[in-house]
Amino acid sequence: MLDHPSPLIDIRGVCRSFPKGSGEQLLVLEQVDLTIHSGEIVGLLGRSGSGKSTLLRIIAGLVTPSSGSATCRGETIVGPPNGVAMVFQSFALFPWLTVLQNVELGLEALGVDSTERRKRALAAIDLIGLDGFESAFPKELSGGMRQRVGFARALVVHPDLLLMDEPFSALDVLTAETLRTDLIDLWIEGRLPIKSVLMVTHNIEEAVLMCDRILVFSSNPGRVATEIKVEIPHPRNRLDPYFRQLVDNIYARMTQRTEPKAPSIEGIPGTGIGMTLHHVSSNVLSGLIETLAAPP
Amino acid sequence: MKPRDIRTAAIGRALRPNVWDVVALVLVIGAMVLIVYGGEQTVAPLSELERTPVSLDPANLPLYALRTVLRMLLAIVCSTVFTFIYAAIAAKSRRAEMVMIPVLDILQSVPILGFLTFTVVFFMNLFPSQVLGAELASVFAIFTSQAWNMTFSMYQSMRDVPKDLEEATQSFHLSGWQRFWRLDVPFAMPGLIWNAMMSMSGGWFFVVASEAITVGNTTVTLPGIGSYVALAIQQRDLPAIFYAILTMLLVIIAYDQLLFRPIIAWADKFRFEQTASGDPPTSWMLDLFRRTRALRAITLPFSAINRAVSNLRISFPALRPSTKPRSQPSRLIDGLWLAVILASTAYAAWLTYRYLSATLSVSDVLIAIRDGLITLLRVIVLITFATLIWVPIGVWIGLRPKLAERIQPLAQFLAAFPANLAFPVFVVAIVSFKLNPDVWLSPLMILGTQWYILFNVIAGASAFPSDLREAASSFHLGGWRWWLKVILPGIFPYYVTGAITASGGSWNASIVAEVASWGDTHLNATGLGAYIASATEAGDFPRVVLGIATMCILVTLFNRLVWRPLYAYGERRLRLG
Repeated sequence: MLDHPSPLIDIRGVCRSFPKGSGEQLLVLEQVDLTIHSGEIVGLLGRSGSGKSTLLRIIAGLVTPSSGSATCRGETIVGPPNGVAMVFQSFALFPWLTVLQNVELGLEALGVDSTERRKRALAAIDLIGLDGFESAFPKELSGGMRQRVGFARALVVHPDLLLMDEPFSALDVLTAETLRTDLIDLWIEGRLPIKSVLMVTHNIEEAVLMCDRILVFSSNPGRVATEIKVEIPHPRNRLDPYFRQLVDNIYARMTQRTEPKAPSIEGIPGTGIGMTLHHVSSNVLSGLIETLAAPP
Repeated sequence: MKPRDIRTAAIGRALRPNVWDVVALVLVIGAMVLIVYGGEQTVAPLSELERTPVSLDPANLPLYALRTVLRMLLAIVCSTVFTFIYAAIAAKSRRAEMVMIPVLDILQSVPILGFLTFTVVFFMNLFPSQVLGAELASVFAIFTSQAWNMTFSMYQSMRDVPKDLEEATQSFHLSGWQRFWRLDVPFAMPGLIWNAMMSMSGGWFFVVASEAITVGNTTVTLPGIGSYVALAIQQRDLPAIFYAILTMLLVIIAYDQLLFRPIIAWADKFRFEQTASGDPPTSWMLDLFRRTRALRAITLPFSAINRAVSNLRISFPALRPSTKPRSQPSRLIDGLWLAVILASTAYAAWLTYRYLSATLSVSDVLIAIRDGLITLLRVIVLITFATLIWVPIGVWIGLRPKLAERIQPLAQFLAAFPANLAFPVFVVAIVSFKLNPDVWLSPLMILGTQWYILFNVIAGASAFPSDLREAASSFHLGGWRWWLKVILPGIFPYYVTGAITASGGSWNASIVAEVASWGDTHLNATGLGAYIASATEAGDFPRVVLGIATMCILVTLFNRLVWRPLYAYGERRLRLG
């Protein structure tokens, strides 16, 4: 066991479809494999609608796969697994609870007694840079501060795996950048009480900046198109030529068009958008029009 | 440790009382004394009521007011408890929901007097020859006028809980019990408080009916403002009516200032919004209690208990199996459940039929239906009139925020004001001008309920986005085009909400409004309300049942065929933002 520790998360051949209004099934995830080990930051990168959030929710135990297996530490995921905490794109803070109460929420659910709870919550608040805001309500905070509460709330339960669902996309550019670098700093200093991170993003630079491994998703249905290892040491410099090259590379892959389909052989010729037209000169075409317009 | 320090320091300071403590303490002790004093009266034997009948002496009014206030308070507490339990079960269990929500719909359309007819005997037998039985019957009657809309609001909120918060509670392993107190209840709170205020207003309307109970041979007159008013009407005592109005005014203001304002100000934190909005509601009462030191220190253990209770790890099935394809509900159990429901419905229908057919014939049913249709016509005409009058006025007020702020509480007060007090005016006018009671008694039905249309329209117009207004004026939209294309679609969902409440209230009020009296002058309009009222007075149970059943069916049909589609249309097409 010690030589080959079972991976934290193991996803094998997972498919997920949702019923459409018309009664058909819409396939959003097709045959996805993913393994997450201890000590890495994994990014799921793709356009919106490529099923990456669904995959994250399958791991979080909020959605069950239609087929395939999803396990956490060797156990099938049924409901939210222990040791997995989530940060939401919309923050998902409870507006009627103060910052401290929001952070304590996860501990209360675990039945931690109140002194210990208070201690750990204050430690998490301190760590994430929210000192002095303990008794503020979320609506009194700026977006960046709110997401910090979201992080503190997830970190306080000391999860093995931190799930992040586009955590920076609701923030303005500068705030997001500060929060990102703060988080990475804490991570490389080893001060975060977590073992691994899985983040969903549609921002290529963000993925390259933070992740050790990036899974690029293709859309309709969502599947893993490529897996890219990022072997630049932290802290990473966005202006580093290798960094830029990697970003351009991924951009090219994501925007790459699917190969044009071969002209359809069956069916009536002249139908379908994929049909290739023969080269015809313009005077031949105008001749055809004149012929058609002439009296029979 | 840092947290410890903060805590002990706070408590140490909190123990020294300040001047606000004295004020708050007096208020709290005063309220307790009043409750105990009022409560003592209820355990007196029933003969006590005959020995000291309700008198029109204004000196008695404070005591009467106290008793009425306590009844309404008890009723609202019962309604809240009922709401929490009923709404929670209906929202969490799909199978229970199938039965519970339609039942609630029906209960909402059963007129309050209908409940009174059946429950008064039951409660009187529960505590024979004690006032308590009659008191409970009265409280129950007020309860039935308050509970249903609160329950609906809570149920609706629990179904509309934001998805991300729901996921957060799941992801952080909150138990069903914890989720209920941390997510469902807080989220439902603003709607619940609003509806509780509406309910309180509704309760006032029926106070007369629920305190002066006459069912067949049983006549109980409980001391209270309601029975005072009833007696004043009976004895044609105008000054007494005036005193009653004054007392009610004071009580309603006291309720508003001492109970609802503080609750609204406190509950402002439960409003679901991510950014702080303009002026939060304030309450001097809440400020007073927030400034006290010793009292707050005393309440600390209570909040600790509260927190401990909400943290109990009771697991009840919190998760609707909506996201889990694997736990698809079993068809077999669904089928069985449906069969049980159908069987018990059929049995109940058969029982009712047997009971009614023993004494009533088909012609009775036809009479009830005819009367019902007459009342239906009244409701439709009245709602139309109220709409034509109040929609333009409401829009005009709503687009002027300063004015709306002042008018809103006034409209709420008018809704709370019992229309029975206006009856003398109508009766005297109808008699002296020899008017047709069938026509001229009708306005009484909508006297108390028209305000729902007004303040919903005001709310709609003030919520209308200013950029849309600006866009309209920059395109020079004016006159009827502005009404038709801009503002009416904008306020439509709000209007429908108000109109549903108003029409439901009018049906309920028809029982009180179609029979009006002033001393010996009794005026009767033909209608289902009068039908039920006279059957109740005669103690004719089969006819009461028939009348109520007819009313339920008509109201439910009207809601399903007219209001629901309108509401759905408004939600689908015209909801802004």
